[in-house]
Order: sequence, then structure tokens, then C-alpha cells
Amino acid sequence: MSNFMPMLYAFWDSDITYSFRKSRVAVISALVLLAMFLTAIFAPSLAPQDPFNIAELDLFDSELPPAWAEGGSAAYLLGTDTQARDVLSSIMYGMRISLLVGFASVILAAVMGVALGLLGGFLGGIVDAVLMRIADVLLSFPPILVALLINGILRGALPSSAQAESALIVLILSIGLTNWVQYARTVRGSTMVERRKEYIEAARTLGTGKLAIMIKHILPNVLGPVLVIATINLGMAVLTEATLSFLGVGMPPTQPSLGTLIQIGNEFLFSGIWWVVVFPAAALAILVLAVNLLGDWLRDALNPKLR
Amino acid sequence: MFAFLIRRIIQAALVMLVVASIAFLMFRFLGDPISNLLPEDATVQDRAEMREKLGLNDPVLVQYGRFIADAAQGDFGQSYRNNRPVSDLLAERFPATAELVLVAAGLALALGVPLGIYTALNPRGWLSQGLQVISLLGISVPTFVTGILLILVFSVSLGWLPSFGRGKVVDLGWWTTGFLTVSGLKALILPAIMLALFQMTLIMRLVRAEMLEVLRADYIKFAKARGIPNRMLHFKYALKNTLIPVMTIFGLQLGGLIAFAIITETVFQWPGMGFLFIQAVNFTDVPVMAAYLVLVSFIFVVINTLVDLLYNVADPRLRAERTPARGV
Amino acid sequence: MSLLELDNIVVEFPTRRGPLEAVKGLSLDLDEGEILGLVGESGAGKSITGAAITGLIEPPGLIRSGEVRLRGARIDNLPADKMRRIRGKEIGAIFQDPLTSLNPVYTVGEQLVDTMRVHLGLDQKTARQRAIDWLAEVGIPAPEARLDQYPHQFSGGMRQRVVIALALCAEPKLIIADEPTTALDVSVQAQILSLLKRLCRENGTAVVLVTHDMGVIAETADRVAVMYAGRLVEIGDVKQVIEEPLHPYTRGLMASIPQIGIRDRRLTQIEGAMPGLRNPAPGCAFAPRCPRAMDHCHSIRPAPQDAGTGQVACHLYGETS
Repeated sequence: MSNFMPMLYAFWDSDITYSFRKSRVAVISALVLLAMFLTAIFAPSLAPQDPFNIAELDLFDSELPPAWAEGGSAAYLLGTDTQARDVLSSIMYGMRISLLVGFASVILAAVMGVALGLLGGFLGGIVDAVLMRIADVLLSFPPILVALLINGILRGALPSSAQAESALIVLILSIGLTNWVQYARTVRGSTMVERRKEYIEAARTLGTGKLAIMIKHILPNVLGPVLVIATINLGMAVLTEATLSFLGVGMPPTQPSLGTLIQIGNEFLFSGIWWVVVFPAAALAILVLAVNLLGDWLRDALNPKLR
Repeated sequence: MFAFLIRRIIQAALVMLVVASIAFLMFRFLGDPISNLLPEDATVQDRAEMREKLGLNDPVLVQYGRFIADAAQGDFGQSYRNNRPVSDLLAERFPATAELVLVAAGLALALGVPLGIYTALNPRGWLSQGLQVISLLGISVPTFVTGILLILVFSVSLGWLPSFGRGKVVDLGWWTTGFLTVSGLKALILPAIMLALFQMTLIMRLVRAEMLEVLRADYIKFAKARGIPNRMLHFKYALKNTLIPVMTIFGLQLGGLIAFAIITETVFQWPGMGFLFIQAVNFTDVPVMAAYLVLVSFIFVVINTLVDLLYNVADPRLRAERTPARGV
Repeated sequence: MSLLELDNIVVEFPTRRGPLEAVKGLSLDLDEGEILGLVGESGAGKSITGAAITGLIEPPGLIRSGEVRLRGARIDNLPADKMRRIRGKEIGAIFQDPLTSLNPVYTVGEQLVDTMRVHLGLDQKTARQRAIDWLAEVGIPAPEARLDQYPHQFSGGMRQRVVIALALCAEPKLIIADEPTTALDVSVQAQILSLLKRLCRENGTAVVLVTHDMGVIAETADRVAVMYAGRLVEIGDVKQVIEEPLHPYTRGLMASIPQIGIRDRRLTQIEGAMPGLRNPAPGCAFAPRCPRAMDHCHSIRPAPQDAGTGQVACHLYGETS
């Protein structure tokens, strides 16, 4: 353990941490994100109310404005909606779902993309050719359309009774299956470069199986850019989920994500209870903004050309 | 050039075939056409007759062939939701989406390109910093939120602009246009802005990044060393190099506009193809979903091919591949 | 009066660990029509010196102190628009890679015409004709046709000829040529060098020829200045420096050039490597590697002193020896 302190110091002093410390934007974004993650994870304990537990709702308290406005109440900091659900609590639970779908779909896309990229890059030949063709076709369509289509197909394949419960899985699958292509392409490129290197040649001579080579040797070396893609992708995934929910084909009102909340609130835009839509929208915007800023910083920090 | 064109057309046809096949699979395995097209009290015999009529008893390959042939002619059968031919529905709604997309694209270009150039040339000005922030917001804030905000401000609070529908449209036979009436134009403003905003920020960032990259290039350094004045340097020497890749990327983004139109149309209840598609997805109205898919793919493929062609013409390096370098 | 004077130039680059001096107190002169070679390893500071003369040091680098004088007048502190007028018209530049030096989306003719119209005030027609003349001058066949072609339609050597034409067309009195032949095939290098030499002689243009290749210097230059770790270590007439180098570093350089015809001599190397620019040690920068280093070489930095046909910065030749 005597190596630990110098190692820690080296990390703290390294280029990337230095760049992080220097960038106020990156630090603030990271803190904001951390706060949001923690809120999402601990929502059940942190939220003043469980908005989906009917027993906790008191219809007398519906349509209350935020606490600082006239008629508001401190118990409901950001106001309530038409069914007396606390907006703040709804946002906390909603963020939970949004982040869950976001992360799960990014992981799905990354795993799938990296696996396919490794296969294509390493095996080459017809496997690679087919893969690249599929990737090209998929990339020529805007992701929202692909996600909508996959979503529509999956929902259509399920009986209507199961649609509400399976919405979460369907969403994760739709977004994940849309976004794997970037990972696959990058990993494939890196794999093709790595596989010609001598250490791979050496491993092959030693008789190591193809799968082992791919996982043990090539994979660690191609993971770098994957991280950057994943961070940028997270923002996109959250946005896509919100959009799908807003359009009515995502999370249902019984298990709303931030997007669903915005859709619900949208119905009441003209009746003057603006807080039901504005606060969830703000929360969503801040979340995606923080993710994007962090992703931007990460990309610049890891870009060898700018150093 | 000719060979290139043929190759691209064949590629395009292949993609269309794949898309049509997916559409066919959707037809085959999703939803139940018979329950959708017949009233609830239909008898077993009615159902059997319907099966026969729809040709559902024929072998799969025959159905496939028939589907492709029909699709090529634009016939996708009847919508499950309202029992009208799908092609009619799409034709009715196409002008609405087309006008919206055109205006939005124009707006995005007209504002995005100059702003992008400005921020590249004056990176430290306060306007540039401000625009940077706005552009970051532009791609982080979901489009439907901007739409809602626009409605909140301009419809609900100020009451200046309508928040749904197309206003009064003029029927020109095969096209209905909102350009010729005041209410039509007014109704177009907010949705067009919403649709354009995302694209505009994208273009602005793209132009800026591309231009900054170009300004770092050796040929700009050499031109500077020759004493070329800044104005010529920026607007003649750097601009053309910047715009060529930007134009092509924008062309490819047009497809994105059509997709984003779905969201815009939903927010503003704009009677276009996108709105139709969402309703179809909600209802699992497979014929409409399939038809929309094929139509939009077709548009994308055409745009992609045109953009490729344009790029080949615009970039002299690609144009003159036939005249190899000579001399010593 | 010399055409160009560099007076104790210090070029500094701020980095996050403190400023880094890429050029430390360099002084030299150049007369009209003279070809001066500026030679040294990568990182010795020669390209930066060239950039300092044209005022094109990439920010945040800057000339921390010292002066650059053109015909006696200071040019390192001029406002941007005045400096721009000097570039091209008084001082021209040639860079290493002819492919990236030319704008790929404009014809060669347009780039020539623009340069001439900016500096010489010619009208379109005259400028075009001049451009054709220049292309012919640099040895490009069928210049009228080639005028309207794009850079990628020329081969490497041809492109560098175009670059030379571009650098000379505004008729500057001084050219900074930064590794002009390094990116070219060996067979083409000699042609380009002789072209450059001929044109500069004919027009009385002085040249600062920056390169790491002593062979190029031997071919082309009148005098040569040797740089090491950001400083000048020797300067003198080409013949003398090559045949009887004074500074131990220059000796090492000459000895490490392979010579055709001599078979059994092992290739000499200079042990060690040029020190980094950060935290320079006191004393002579070459001392750690010098086979003739004396004790005080490690603690007292030698100043350039007159010796041979020019100057040398080495304790072996001064009053301190």
C-alpha cells in the first residue's frame, strides 16, 4: 500500500484531473449530476410524498401553486397537480425512472455495440461486411424514428393488457437497440488496428483461442473512446426516452418519467397551472445539460489533438 | 460519374427493398387485420371470407411479392383505425409536413450559418459566448419543451399566435397550402421555430467547429504568410472549405427534420404525416406505420443520393479523379 | 546595413508549469541577397525563429524580448495590419508540406492572382498574365492550362514549385524557407533547391533556409548558423563550417553524415540527446555530451565570440580557454 499515496498524487496531478479541476463547468456539472443521481437513488426516502400512493393524497390540496406564490403551501414546495400529487416528489420519482432508462439503455447499447464491433473487427470477412451494411442503413435514419419504430413493433407484439407493465423494458430495448451503432463502429475500427499488432500475433502463436484474445487482449485497449461515446449517449438516451414518453408511447402515467410528467402537464397549459409542466421540464433540461457539458469536457480532455 | 450514379441507385434500391421487407414483416406478424376491419359481431364465416379476400391464405412468398408490387405503386391497403386507404391519408397530410419542414430548414440555414461563422471568427466576444451557451441549451433542452415554452409565452400569455392547427388553408387541387392566408402563416410560425431551433443550433455548432478546424490548416497559415488580408482570408479562403462539408451534413440532417416534425406536429396538433404516424403507433395501425416507414425511407434515400452527388460536384478533389496528377 | 537583424530574441511559450523558452537570446544578421542556412535538430528552435521573423508565432507563444529589424526598422512590435502588408511583399515564406500549403478548393491561378493583386495592385488581366509567367519561371510546363487546375492535380514536386511561385510573386526581399524539400522525393529535392537558389540569385532575394539536413545547406547556402537547445552555437561561411567546424556539436553533426565511397568508417553518433527546454542547466547546454568539455563548461555559459569566418559559442575559442 506504500504505492497508494504516490499513485493518488500522480492521478490528482495528471493531465486529465488537472483539466477537470481547471474547468469550472465540468466541476459544476459533475456536482449537479451527482446530486441528481443521489436524489434518484434515494427518492423513496427523500421525497416528501409518494405521489403514487393514493392513501397519501388529499384532494383538497390539488392544484396548489408553488410555496412562494399566493395560496401555496410549504408542504408542497413546487405545488401540486390536479390530483393533489406533489410536483417535487413526482419529479424525484420521475428522475429515477428517466435515469434508470437512460443508464440501462446506454449499457445495453454499449455491450451490444462493443461485442458486435469486436466480432466484426476481429473476424473480418463476411461477418464484418454484413455488420457494416446494417450499421450504415441504421445510421442513415434519425434515431428518434428508429426508436419509435422499434417501440411500435415491440408494443404491437405484446397484448394490450401487458403494455403498461412492460413499458420500462420496451423503452430500454427501443433506445438501446437504436444506439449501438456508434460503439460498434468505433470498436471495430480500433479492433482492426489492434489485431495487426504484434502482441496479438504472439498470443495466437501461443494457441490462445479467438474469444480469449478478443476479451483479454483487445478489449481493454479499445475501451477508451467507448467511455466518451457513452457519456454523450447518456444525454441522448434520456432525451429520447423523454420524447417517447411525451409522445405517449413511453412510460405510462402510472409510472411516469420526466417526459410523461411533461406530457401530463401539457394538457393543463391553458388552465393556468404552469408549474405542473415547467418544473419537470426544467429538471429534465438541467439533467441533460449537465450530462452534455460533462461529455463535452471529457471529449476535449481525451482528444489528443488538443493537448 | 455515370457509373457512380448507377451504383448509388442500386444501393438505394437495395435499402428500399430491405425497408419494404421489414414493413412486410410488420404486416404479417403485428396486429390483426381481420379484427380491425370487421365489426365485432362478425361470424367465423365472415372472418374466413375476409381471410380469403385479403389473400392471407396464400403462401408467404406470394404475399411478399404482392406486397412489394403494391408498395411500389403506393398501395398499402386500408388503415385499421379509420378504414380509409392509407395512400389517401398520407397524400392529404403530406403538404402540411412538407411546408413545415421547408420553412424550418430555411430558417435553420439562414440563421445557423452566419451565426456559426461569427462565433468562429470572434470566439471571445460576449455575443459568441452567449451564443455558445444558447446553443448548448438548444441541444440539451428537449425539443418538445421548447415547443411548450413557445406556446406558453406566445399563445397563453401574449395570445399573439395560435397553438394548434394550420389555420386557414387554400386548396390547390393536389396540394393544400397555408402560405396564402394570414392565419395560415401565423399558424406556421411557432411550429417552424420549434422545428428549426434544434437544427439551427446544430448547424451553428457545426459551422463553428468546421471553420475553426479550417482556420488552423496549413494553407491558411501560408495564405497569412503571404499577407492575404483577414477579410479575404476568412470569407474567401476559409469559407468555401468550411461550407462544403457543412452543406453535405445539412443535407443528411434534412431527414432528421422530417423525423423531428413528428414531435412538432404532436405538440402543435399540426395535421401532418408525423402526427398521423404517432396516432398509428399508439393504435398499432400497422398499414399506416408501414406506409410511413416506406415513404420516409424513400425520402431519406433520395436525399442521401442527391447529397452524395452534390458533394462530388462541389469538391474539386473528387470531381477531377479522372485527371490524375501529372508532372514532376 | 543588413537586410535583417535578429537582436537577442527570446521566444517564450507559457505552459501550465511555467514559461518555456524555445529560443534563448538569439542574434544574427542577414545581408541582401544572402542565403543563410539555419540548421539544428528537431526542437532546437529553428522553425520558431523563422516564425518569429514573420510574426506568425502561434499564440500563446510570444517574443518575450529582443528585436527583429528589417532594414533597420523594428518589425516585431508592429500593429497587425502593418505587419500584414510586410508579409508577402517584403518577407515571403515557404513551408514544408506542399500538399497542405495550397488551398484544395481554389485553382492555383486564383491563389497566385489574389496574392499579386493584394500586394501589387494589379488588375485581373495583368495578374493572370504574370501568374502564367511565374508558373513558367518555376518550370511548370503548359502554364496557361495549368493555371486553372487544382492543387491535387499536380505532383509533389510541381506543387512545391507552385508554392515557390506563390512566395516570390509579390517580389519580397527575404524568404523564410522552412524545410522546403523535406517532404519531397530525393530525386526532386535537388531540382527544387537549384530552382530556389537560381530565382533568389536572379532577384536578389535573401533566404533563411531552415533545415535539419546539412546536405541541403552545403548545396545551397552562403553562410550557415547552427542552433542547439534554443541558442546559436556557431555561424560562419558554409565552406568553413563544413570543412573545419569549430564547435564540438557542429563537428559531431558533420561526422555523422554518411559519406559515399568511404566504406570502413563507422557512423559516428553524438552520445546522448538534446536537453529539454524546461529548466535549462547552467553553463553550456551541450556540455553533458561534449567530448571536450572542461570543468567550467558546466557552470558558465559561453557567449558567441568572433572566430573563423563568423562566430562560435564555445569556451574552447574564447579568452576563457
